[in-house]
Amino acid sequence: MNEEINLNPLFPYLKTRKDANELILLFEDLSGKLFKEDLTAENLFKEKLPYDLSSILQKMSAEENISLLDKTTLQKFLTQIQENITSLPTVHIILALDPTYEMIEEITNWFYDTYKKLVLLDITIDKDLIAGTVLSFNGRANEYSLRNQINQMHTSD
Amino acid sequence: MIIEFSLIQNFLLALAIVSLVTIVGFVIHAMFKKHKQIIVEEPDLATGYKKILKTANRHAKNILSQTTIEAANILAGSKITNEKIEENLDHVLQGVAADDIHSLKITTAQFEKEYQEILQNIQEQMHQTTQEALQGTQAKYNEQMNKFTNDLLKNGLSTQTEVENKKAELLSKAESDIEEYKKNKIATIEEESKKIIDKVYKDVLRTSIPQNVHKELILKSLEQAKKDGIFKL
Repeated sequence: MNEEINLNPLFPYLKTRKDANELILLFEDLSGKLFKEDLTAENLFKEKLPYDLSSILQKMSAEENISLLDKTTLQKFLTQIQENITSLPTVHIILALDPTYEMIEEITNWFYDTYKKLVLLDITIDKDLIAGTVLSFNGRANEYSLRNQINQMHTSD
Repeated sequence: MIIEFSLIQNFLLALAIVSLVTIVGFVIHAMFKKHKQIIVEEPDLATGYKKILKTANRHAKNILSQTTIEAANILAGSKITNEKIEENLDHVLQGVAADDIHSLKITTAQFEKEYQEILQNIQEQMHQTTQEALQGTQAKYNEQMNKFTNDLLKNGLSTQTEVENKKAELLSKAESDIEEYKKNKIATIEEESKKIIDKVYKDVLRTSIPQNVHKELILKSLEQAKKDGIFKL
């Protein structure tokens, strides 16, 4: 089993840091019930996970050559996924409005297309920005808002 | 002293009675003993003795009775004496108390008189001191008034000039203060106006920007941030 598991199949479920935390909790619950439930792992996935996610997880384990019958290895695999999700890069973004799902998807797609990586968004709302964003990542930050442009115009006057 | 004497007297009387009763007892006992002997030894004599004894017994009873009466009289007399002594003592004490009260009244009257005199003295001294102080203050005040009047008369002309100068100075300062106030007020109004215009401008923009423009601005900001090197992924 690789230490770096390919999380790309989980991209539809990993847009924001909030999504990531929910997914971690879900896998944690699954991992805990793996030995307690009198079920096969396949049936447990089908019972506890949404259809798409259950299929994705089964495909991911198949790619890693992990048998669903081997519950011990499967549990390690689930733990590894959780750890990898936790270490995903997170970009802090301040928006001037409550974003639609489509907007969030566009932003995460931009990151995925541009950097070929999964990036999580940590979103905050500040309507004073008027439009645009304030972006920060690993201690670097800049404001790209309409408010900022207007203020700069006032300063140049 | 009188009370002590009375007690001793009572005690001696009681002692005498007890002694007398004891002696009579012994005599009767001896006679009874002799009577028994005679009855046994000489029966004729016994009859004579019986008479004698009866007589003696009667005498003894009389003596005892007389003694008891006397003793009772003495005790009664002693009681009367005691009551008299108490009465006398009461009289003496009342006399002493009356004397004491009289002395106290005299002493109090004397003390009151002395106290009144002391108070009178203090009052007179205080009055004298106050008068002296008032006189001193008045003299000092008169002196100062005279000095002040003289100074005023001397400096009359120069004071007039100083007042004029002060007026001019105050007028000039008031004018500059008003000018400063006007400047500050205008600056504040300008600042407030800018803020209002800015707020209205931003509010209008915020509500009038459509979603697609927002999305476009967001994507542009991402591109710009990439160029600025914000994302080192």
